[in-house]
Amino acid sequence: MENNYMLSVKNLKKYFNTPTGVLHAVDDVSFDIPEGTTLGVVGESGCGKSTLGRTVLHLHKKTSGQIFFNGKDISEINKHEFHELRKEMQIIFQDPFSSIDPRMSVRQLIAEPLKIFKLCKSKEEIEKKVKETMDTVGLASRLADSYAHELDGGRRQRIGIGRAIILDPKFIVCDEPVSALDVSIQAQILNLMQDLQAERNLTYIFITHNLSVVKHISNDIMVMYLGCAVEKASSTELFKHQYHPYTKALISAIPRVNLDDKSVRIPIKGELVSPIDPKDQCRFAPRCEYACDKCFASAPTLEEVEPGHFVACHRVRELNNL
Amino acid sequence: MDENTLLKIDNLVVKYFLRKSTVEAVNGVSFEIKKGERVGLVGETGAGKTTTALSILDLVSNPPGRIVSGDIYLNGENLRQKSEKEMRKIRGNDIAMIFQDPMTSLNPVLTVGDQIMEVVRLHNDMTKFEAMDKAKEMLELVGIPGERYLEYPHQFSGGMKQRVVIAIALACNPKLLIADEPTSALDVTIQAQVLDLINELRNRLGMSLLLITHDLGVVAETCDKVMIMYAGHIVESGTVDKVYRNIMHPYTSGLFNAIPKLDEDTDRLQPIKGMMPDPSNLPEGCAFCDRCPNAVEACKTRKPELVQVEEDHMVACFNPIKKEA
Amino acid sequence: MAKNDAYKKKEGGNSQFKMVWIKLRENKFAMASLFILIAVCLVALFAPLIAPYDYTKQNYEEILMFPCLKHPFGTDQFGRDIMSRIIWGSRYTIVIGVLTMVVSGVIGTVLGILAAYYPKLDNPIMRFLDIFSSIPDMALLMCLVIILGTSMRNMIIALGLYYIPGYARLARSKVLTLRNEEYVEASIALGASDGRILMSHILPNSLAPIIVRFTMSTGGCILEAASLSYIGLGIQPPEPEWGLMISQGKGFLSTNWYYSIIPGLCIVLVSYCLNYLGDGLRDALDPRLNY
Repeated sequence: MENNYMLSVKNLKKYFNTPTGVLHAVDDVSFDIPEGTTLGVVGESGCGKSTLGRTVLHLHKKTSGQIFFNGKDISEINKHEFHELRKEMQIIFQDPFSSIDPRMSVRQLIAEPLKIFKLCKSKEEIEKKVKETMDTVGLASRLADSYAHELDGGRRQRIGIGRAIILDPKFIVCDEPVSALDVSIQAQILNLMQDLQAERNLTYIFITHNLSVVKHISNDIMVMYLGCAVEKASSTELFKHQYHPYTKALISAIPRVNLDDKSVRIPIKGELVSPIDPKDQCRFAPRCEYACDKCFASAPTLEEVEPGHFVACHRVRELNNL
Repeated sequence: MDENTLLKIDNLVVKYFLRKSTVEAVNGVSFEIKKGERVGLVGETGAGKTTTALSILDLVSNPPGRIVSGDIYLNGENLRQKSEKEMRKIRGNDIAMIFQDPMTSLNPVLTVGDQIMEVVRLHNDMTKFEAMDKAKEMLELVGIPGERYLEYPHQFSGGMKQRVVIAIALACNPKLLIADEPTSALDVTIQAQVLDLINELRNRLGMSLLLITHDLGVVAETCDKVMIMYAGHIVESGTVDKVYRNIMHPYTSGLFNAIPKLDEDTDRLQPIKGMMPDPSNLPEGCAFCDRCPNAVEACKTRKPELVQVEEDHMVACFNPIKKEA
Repeated sequence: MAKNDAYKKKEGGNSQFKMVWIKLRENKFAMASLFILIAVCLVALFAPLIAPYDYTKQNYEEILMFPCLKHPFGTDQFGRDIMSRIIWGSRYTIVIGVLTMVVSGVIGTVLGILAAYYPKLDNPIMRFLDIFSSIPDMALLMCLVIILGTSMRNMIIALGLYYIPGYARLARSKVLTLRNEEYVEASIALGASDGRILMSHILPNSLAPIIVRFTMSTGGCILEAASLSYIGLGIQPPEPEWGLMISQGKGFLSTNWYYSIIPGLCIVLVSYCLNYLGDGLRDALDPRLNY
């Protein structure tokens, strides 16, 4: 069924109950990721991208929908079975300062997964694997006894990556892994992640709000807004042609380094709101300059407007002459 | 001093004296900001940009930090010779500063109106009602309905909080606004709104702007001049046009190459190898030497000074990048 | 190449524990307090060897003597050497103080951690402990001792019960914040069991405020124990507990002030040192680790 898709998600929903209402963090999202590729998930605060990543990994309990991992339906499996799967599905966090226990040394941090799954029989074996992993992620072996507060952001993030790959997973959710890093370190970490992907045929979900980064590292990109997927296409295609008004505004909002780039910024008025008890309408309609009555009457769904290019917008064809 | 010069920093040296080491945060920084000019100060973490900004207002935590030497002139007056009382008159009044995180810049138990009124009444002889009017006026100026002056910070979103912070900063019509990474914590569409707002207000009120950021794109869109900082030194400076079109310092070049570009397809990014040196253990010679593809013998032992290489463009390098003919 | 090559920052191996010790070492008052406390413990430990006289030996020819070479702290109305009684009495002080804190600290911390980590247990545990907090300290202690009977063991139980809610509340509040830390989420993502997370991540990171409370409460505990003995509900005569000695000497305050004052000063000294040490620890544990 899912031939060589590493991950297939169908109609995934994740709602949270809050005192003010039901928060539709992830609302009916579907996508497929072929093995060895990267799906970039882009959006701003409140779009649900982090929740999506965590729900796929069962860090949040999904509200409904199906998740297929390597062909197998993992939506309904119990905690014990999923425990084994954790070896194959891992996560790298955004903040290299808070995602690391300040009281553990580098060695202890990277060895933790091995201890949890009791994969090594002896201390020497653990030591060997830890050293190997530190080499792979570019951490000097003399740092094995260092603690988080002695290292900079780039090195801490390498610890996070080392911890995620030591179990040899097939799939990694990367939740804004470079957003907290300096530009030159970002580049180092992104290169490392690409190398690891090539060597180990890893599949990534790369969550970020930084469009330049996502363009560089993703094969396909999904743009989210307030819990819904509004546009989905291959990376090259999306940056050539954006069809959803939000995507257009998002790309135009990026400050341009190239002085000759005279593209005009498309302003979006208003603020991002929280998707609590949303009405059945396009979620972007209140801020969209092209919104019409239909947009406020029913929520649009993702349609394939061109081969491989999906957009959720009632007026997509007329606005883009398709 | 030129009449047009608002702020002049002369050979500023700031150090942090820690328990067992001394952090050389700012090592001989000099620059000028003219009236109405927008200057961007670019650098990565640890370059010394925030320390430089804090020094202008004498806000460096003492202990352990201290301005060791150097002079800071505002409209010809040396700020370093002023007493704390005189500096208080300047802060918020002649020079205002906004910080990165709007969540922590606002007092959660005071209304936004109160917080604007606080700064207004500190520097002006106003009655409470006059101050309240001014507060409403400032909120309108930054795009927030004036009636919201009775609301508390938690009732605003991140972008709006930053607008409130800007309103507080501009309430006394300062001559210089120092903005330390004002949009780094915001979403990109909100960032665009806030930057547009800062630009518009600057045009309207005619103040100078010192914008500290790590984002070269933000500088390109918001500033006239740019200064690149590395390990406490300014390594390249000039107008945005000259610097961006004719990058001469290897570090600046490294920064540009390290960012993924929207209009190009790169297979692998080119990071700058290595890391910034430990500011408590800076090498002799150029701080960038170990990481520099252009390093020559002289770089190891002598520190380069800022020299003019063309009009409106200065570089501190013994072997800068030459433009291809 | 670098200027300060001679001074090389030690890379690696400076765990937070070591950094705390380094910071503490620089606090002269805290270190002095630590030494005094260690000295008191040693005195208590080696009491039989150090005390010049048998603390029960009565000598009616030497009653109520002022401090002199033979009896540096003087004698009481039974001719017993006060210095020897002070030395032996230190045992009660140390044992009651430390044991109570250890017992209440361990039980309280465990309860607090469970209450915070498992929200279903939160209300039952905390409301139960509220019962003990709602009664004023001396009233609670007096009631418990009267019910259980006066003995050292019962004093420790009573004091322990009194201090447990404080530790529980402290641990609970720390764990509530820790529970949401990203590195806990990271461990869950790695497949760690609850037990592992509690033992390896939550507990080590919650110890800081608990350790500080430990040192500072011990001082309070010693005072409470002394108070109980003073009113007759604690250690009974002829045992040389410091609080009891103050009580016994109160009839002689105008003539033989040393009888009450010296044990009092000892209590003050130990409490002071514990507080200074606790203060020093709190500063050392402050997360401004760079300075």
